[in-house]
Amino acid sequence: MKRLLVFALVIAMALLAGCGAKEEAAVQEQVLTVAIGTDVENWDISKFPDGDARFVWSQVYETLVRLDPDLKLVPGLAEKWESQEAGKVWLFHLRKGVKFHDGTLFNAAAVVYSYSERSNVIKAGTLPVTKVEAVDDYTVKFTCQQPVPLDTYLTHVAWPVAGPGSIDSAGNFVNPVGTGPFKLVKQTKSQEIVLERNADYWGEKPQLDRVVFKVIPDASTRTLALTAGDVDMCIKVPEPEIRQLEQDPKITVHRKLSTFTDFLQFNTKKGPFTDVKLRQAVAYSIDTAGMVKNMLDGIGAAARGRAYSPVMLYSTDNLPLYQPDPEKAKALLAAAGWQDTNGDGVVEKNGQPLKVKMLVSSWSSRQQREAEACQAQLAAAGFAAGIALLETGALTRAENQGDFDVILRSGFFVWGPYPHHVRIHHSKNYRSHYQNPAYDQVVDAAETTTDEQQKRQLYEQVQKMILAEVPAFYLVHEEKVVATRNNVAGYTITAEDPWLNLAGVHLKR
Amino acid sequence: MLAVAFGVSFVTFFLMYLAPGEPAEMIAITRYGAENLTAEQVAVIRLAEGLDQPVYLQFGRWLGHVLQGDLGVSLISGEPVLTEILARFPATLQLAVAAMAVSLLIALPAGVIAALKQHSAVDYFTMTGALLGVSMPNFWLGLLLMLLFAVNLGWFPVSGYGGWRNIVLPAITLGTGIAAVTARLTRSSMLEVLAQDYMLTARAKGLGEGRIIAGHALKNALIPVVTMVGLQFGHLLEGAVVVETVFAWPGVGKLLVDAIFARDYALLQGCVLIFAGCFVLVNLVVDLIYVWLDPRIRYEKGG
Repeated sequence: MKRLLVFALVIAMALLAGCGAKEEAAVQEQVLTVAIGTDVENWDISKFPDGDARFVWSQVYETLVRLDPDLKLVPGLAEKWESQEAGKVWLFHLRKGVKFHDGTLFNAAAVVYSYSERSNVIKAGTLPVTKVEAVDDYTVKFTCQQPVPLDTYLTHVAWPVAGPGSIDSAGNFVNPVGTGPFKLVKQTKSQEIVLERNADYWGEKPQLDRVVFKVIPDASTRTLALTAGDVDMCIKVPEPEIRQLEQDPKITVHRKLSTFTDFLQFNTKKGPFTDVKLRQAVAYSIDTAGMVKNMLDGIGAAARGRAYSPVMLYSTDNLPLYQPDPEKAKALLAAAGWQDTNGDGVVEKNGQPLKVKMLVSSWSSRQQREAEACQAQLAAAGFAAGIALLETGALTRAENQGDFDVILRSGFFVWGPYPHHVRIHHSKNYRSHYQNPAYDQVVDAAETTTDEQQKRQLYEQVQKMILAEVPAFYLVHEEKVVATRNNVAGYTITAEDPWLNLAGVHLKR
Repeated sequence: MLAVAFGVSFVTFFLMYLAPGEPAEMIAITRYGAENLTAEQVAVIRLAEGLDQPVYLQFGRWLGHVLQGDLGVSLISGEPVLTEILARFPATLQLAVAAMAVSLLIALPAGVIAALKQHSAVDYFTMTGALLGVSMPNFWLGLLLMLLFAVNLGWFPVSGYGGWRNIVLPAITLGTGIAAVTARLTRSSMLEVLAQDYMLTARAKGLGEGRIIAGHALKNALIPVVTMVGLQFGHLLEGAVVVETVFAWPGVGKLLVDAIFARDYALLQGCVLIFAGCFVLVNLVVDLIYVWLDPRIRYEKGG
């Protein structure tokens, strides 16, 4: 027995020693350590980077058009751009003297490669482009099927410009070749990604020598790692822990209203919500301001039905947003024939109680809390709302089979300041669950017009239509939250979400 | 061994087939992002990956590749499945060994002492401790340990993989949970052995109490314990999802769960196949330990 124990111990020690002690002394190097939740599974523009991978991409790759912290379009790899033929043709004049991480020159050929059939954005048909061609070495011409605000598409972190050197002659991906302020040095699966300063960077030179992204899947662990000083910066902090971090004198919490909005999307093709009165009754039942205050610790802004974040383009100030009004909700239900006849608190029609199935993804704790708040408030109005907490596969199946009445979700065509999101309710969209030719027409017109005045009017009309017809009821405009230790100086939070702005960031001694 | 591997692969393949959600759609989400999805993309993937074929054909195709030593390519990362697993296996092995060491160092002494002092305060104390250990959720204990030893005392890093300091907290979290079971089993097994006649013989021979307990009682009591520890170790080699997630430990457990959620058949099947192999191997070692513990057990002579 003793021998066995000794043997086990020796093995254990040997294995532990094998881990290797690699604690580095903090020399004069400026190394920023950032906690993220998911690893970068893919660096190739032929696939879509998901989760927190985009924060890392935004350091390595750059886009033709960029966004400033307040979502204003500013020159990126393109110095200037113009549209012709009423927005069907776009010319981008490229910045000269920019080098890729492999030393090759950034030029029109690289842009043509980045938006070739090989890229995910073209392959998936997300970019409405029919032809990308080099006019000369530093001018690229994009031809579109119809007039589109193409400059707003090209700000997307996941659709950047990559160097043709990122693939070999056989077309296989080798390594990421970008133009960004940092370049990839080393990636250890599920552990960390090490980036190094790009000394040849064309823009504001980074002050950090290295950036280390630590992959920490659990949100509470990320917060603790920040508190303990294991990391300097933490992206995406869960709401209950934000308040706690704000109390910590060693930590600064940066917050900014982002472009994402959580919403309840109705199944208008089947079940009770085919009736617009019931959708309006939901809108009058839910107090989104109370939800933000009581369930989300005051993080985020009450949407009250507003279809996209007020920080975005073509937002209208004087929209007829919803005020919670239980009496109006009851009246709408009654008008649709739903009344509580047996006094159990649930309304009925033809003897059937009003049952509502709400799908919620099991990945977001914020959305789960919102779902619970919705459930309670809907119950007060007479709905018997049940929550189904599902992982992606199960949720997708339920959605495809139409086995739901409402889905709580966020995102969909959300990037940059342009309200592409309203396309979600367009009947052509795979996840629309709504059919309204009048709506389709206004959305198409709003996207294709180049007249700013008209665009503004059309998007106002779109927002008003969503409020009146309620294909979805919008709950909470998300806030982006980044927490840093006080030794991190010069950080400015940006409204764009999967974007991490490290320009000007340095560490204080 | 081959029969086990085939059986396990077969069962998981069909279980995954029954799981909700269409694999082609899940792959499309991984490739293009949920919001950019169109029905055409899903159809293209279904055709390209052969997901439109009957499930037995898909299984057959996979089996054919495995027999040629090809575990396939992960749908998530595009890397070979074997590379993905091998990149994480050392971390899992280290954590498994360390957690097992923690567990045995707690469980064996605790179980033996509790048995020797049956119905004493020590006995009740250790057995209550064991009950607590079993019932305490791993993620909760892990967070508590982090808060105390990493945040407040600063002795160990909160999470991550690297030096010996990193392994301490996850090993304790994982080890105490399984120690509880082992301690209870050691105690009951010891009690049974202590009541045997040969214990009386040993005492009659005038052996010292230490020899009796270590050489005769414990050695005989260990047989069920070794069986249990073998099973536990087999499970540890499959990775401990909760502890790995909480401590950001880059083991195979999280890889497996991610594969399930992403409906990454190739990666999942690869993991399962390799785990089955580990289990068989651990069982072999357990059998060898039996022989050493009880020379009456001899496999080659048949039974």
